[in-house]
Amino acid sequence: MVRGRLIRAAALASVVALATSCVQFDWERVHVGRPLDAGAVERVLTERPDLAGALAELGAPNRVRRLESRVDRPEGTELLWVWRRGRGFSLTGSVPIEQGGNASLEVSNGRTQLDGLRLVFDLDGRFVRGDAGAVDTDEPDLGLPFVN
Amino acid sequence: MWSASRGPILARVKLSIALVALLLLPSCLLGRNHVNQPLDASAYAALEPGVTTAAEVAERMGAPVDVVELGFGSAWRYEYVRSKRTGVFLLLVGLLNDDTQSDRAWLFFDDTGLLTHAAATFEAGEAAWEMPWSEDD
Repeated sequence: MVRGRLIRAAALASVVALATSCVQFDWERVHVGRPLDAGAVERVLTERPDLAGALAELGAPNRVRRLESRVDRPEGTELLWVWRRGRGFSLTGSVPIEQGGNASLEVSNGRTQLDGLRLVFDLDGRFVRGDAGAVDTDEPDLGLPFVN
Repeated sequence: MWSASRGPILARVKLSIALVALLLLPSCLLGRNHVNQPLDASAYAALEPGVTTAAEVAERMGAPVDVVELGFGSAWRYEYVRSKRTGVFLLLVGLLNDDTQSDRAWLFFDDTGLLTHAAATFEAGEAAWEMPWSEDD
């Protein structure tokens, strides 16, 4: 009888301890935007269409930017399609310490990928260059929701 | 006799179900977030490059969210963003998923304000409440 009560009390104490999140495991996934069709990207990079052709093939980009003229390049227009994929987990533990306060430990493993396609056209809308792949998170004008 | 002994067991089962439900119910999250107004697909479809002017675009679609000055004119961006967030918190375990999609249109004008190119992508409706293990697209 006494043993049964002790077990119930221990179980209740465990539930209370867990409910206060002294240990927490989080698994999170973030998607922003849809990846472009790989075949369409390949076609655009191979066939080098003009601005109208690229827009017809790929739809609206996420960002459009004016490229100022420099010594190594004429003035042009840059179009950027971008999408973000993030996935990861974290394990957090926290215990009270005698001196006061809490000691906590967090182990996390996550990966966020920002990928995209960048196309550059001259002032007449002719294809100049294009590249697909990773996009820097400090890309100018990218902003939310791609970077946070 | 049999039903008399079954009564307390049923009561405990019901109590257990109620307790589990109490633990689980406050731990679910379904969130939805919108940025800007949805794009009017029919208004966009009525635009004609080489015919429609910037003034007509503004009249039909309202003010753009962004205007970029280009060497040959300008480009206007219209964008509506929808996010759906799912969360389940079960004592030790938290599962979170965030899916953000957008409808967007870019309209290019020459230096006289005539529409030269237009492109739109409508994906906001594809934002989904999913879980972290859901299949990637």
